[in-house]
Amino acid sequence: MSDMQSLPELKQILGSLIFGANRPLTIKELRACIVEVAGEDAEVAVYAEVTPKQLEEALEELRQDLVRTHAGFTVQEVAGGFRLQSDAACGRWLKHLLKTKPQRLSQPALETMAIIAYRQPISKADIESIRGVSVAHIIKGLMEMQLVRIAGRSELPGRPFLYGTTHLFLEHFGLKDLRQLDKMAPRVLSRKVRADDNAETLFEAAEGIEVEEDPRQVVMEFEEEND
Amino acid sequence: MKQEEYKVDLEVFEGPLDLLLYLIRKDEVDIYNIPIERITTQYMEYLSVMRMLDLNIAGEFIVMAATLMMIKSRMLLPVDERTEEEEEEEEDPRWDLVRQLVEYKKFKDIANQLQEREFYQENVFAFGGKSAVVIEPEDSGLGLQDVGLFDLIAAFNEVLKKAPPEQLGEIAADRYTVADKIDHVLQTVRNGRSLRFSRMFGQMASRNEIICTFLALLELLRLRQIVAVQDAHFGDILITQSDAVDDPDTGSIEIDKDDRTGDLFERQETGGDEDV
Repeated sequence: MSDMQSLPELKQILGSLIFGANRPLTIKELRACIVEVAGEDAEVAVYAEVTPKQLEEALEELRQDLVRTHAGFTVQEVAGGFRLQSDAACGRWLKHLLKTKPQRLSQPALETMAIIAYRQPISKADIESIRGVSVAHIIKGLMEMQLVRIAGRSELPGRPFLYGTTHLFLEHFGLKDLRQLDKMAPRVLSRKVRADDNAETLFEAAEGIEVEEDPRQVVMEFEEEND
Repeated sequence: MKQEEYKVDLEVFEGPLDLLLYLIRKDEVDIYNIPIERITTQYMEYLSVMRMLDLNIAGEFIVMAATLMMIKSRMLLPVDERTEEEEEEEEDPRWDLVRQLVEYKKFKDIANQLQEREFYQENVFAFGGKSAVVIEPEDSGLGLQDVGLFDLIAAFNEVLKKAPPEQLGEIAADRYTVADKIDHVLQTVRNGRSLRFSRMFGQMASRNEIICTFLALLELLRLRQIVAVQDAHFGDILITQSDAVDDPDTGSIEIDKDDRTGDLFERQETGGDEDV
């Protein structure tokens, strides 16, 4: 039965996994799945030794295939996971069909977002010293939209909150990870983010906070801080 | 000039650094060599217009005015008359400000890049839907303004300059109210017509009327009934009906003076007047 020719290609497996999962999948998840199945099923044991690099190459190949055939959708890495997404060029029809309204941030909100993204974790006072004007309301709004989260507390007197970006921030702006910010504007990203080899830990920490604390509680506490 | 019957409670999200960068860009001057006298004069002019409109000016604006004055006076001092400490510093008095402006500008540029990404992402739909950011239409002033506040104030200032001077001794009854002007603007932009900012004040006689109309515009922008767009930087501003208006027959808008939830330039409770 082990007919090598009928064995699905790697990119084919990856494509179906991402399609079927209906959510972004990380390289780690994809690899774990393929390796585990290879261990259980001798028929596909050839994939037992698959490396993350091979997976990345296969995904890139799949992406190019989809682009070349004008499939209307493609594979894209967003916020650390691979997902299927529609071609941007066809946005107008989808927007019409789904009746979505553009969700756009104002200039002051985008600026505050930029400062938090590049200088995280950062306190409100530090953001204000860059913008030169109060940002309390903007931060509150960005937190309610879940683009910004509390990333810890400073050791400074009063232990002010420090702010950072969320998973949704990466998704909203279609970013792979925080290091992609470094390419957008070199030498602005805080050393702390750049040095963090595994930027994912930032998000894991973020999710930890969200689970431990009721976000509403955090917002309330935040309001008190500003009173 | 004060509209007692209707006070627009607009708060400014932009700060003094925004205004300075706006003026620098507008005049195309070198950020590293700011003509401090000229910029200070313009800065004060904008501040007085904002006061006239009764915008809630954050304390930071006043602090910056003082800083500009100080820099200006220090630059007027001949070098040998400066105090010893100052001589030791031997630093351009503008340097701190320049550093701050350059730092801030970096983030403004990044904000533009983020905005481009945002526009692009609008056209991208993920399989299985995406957990989208939800910005409520009446949200906390974080929605997009196509035209910046300072652009509007600049345009308003132009119109105001052309207005005939008020005649002394004549006390005119308040013929215009912001509420009337809101109706008028809405009527004009109905059915997808657009309105040029520079033309909308054409036949207006008094400053009172101009101010009422401008406040009506700001209010409608805040309520997202209209949008203001600019075809080019510092170009004329076009006013059109907002896509967000579901009911095109909305003739009048109920104005709740206490309702600040939808404030486009929402009040900033902190950073406030105690700094003055």
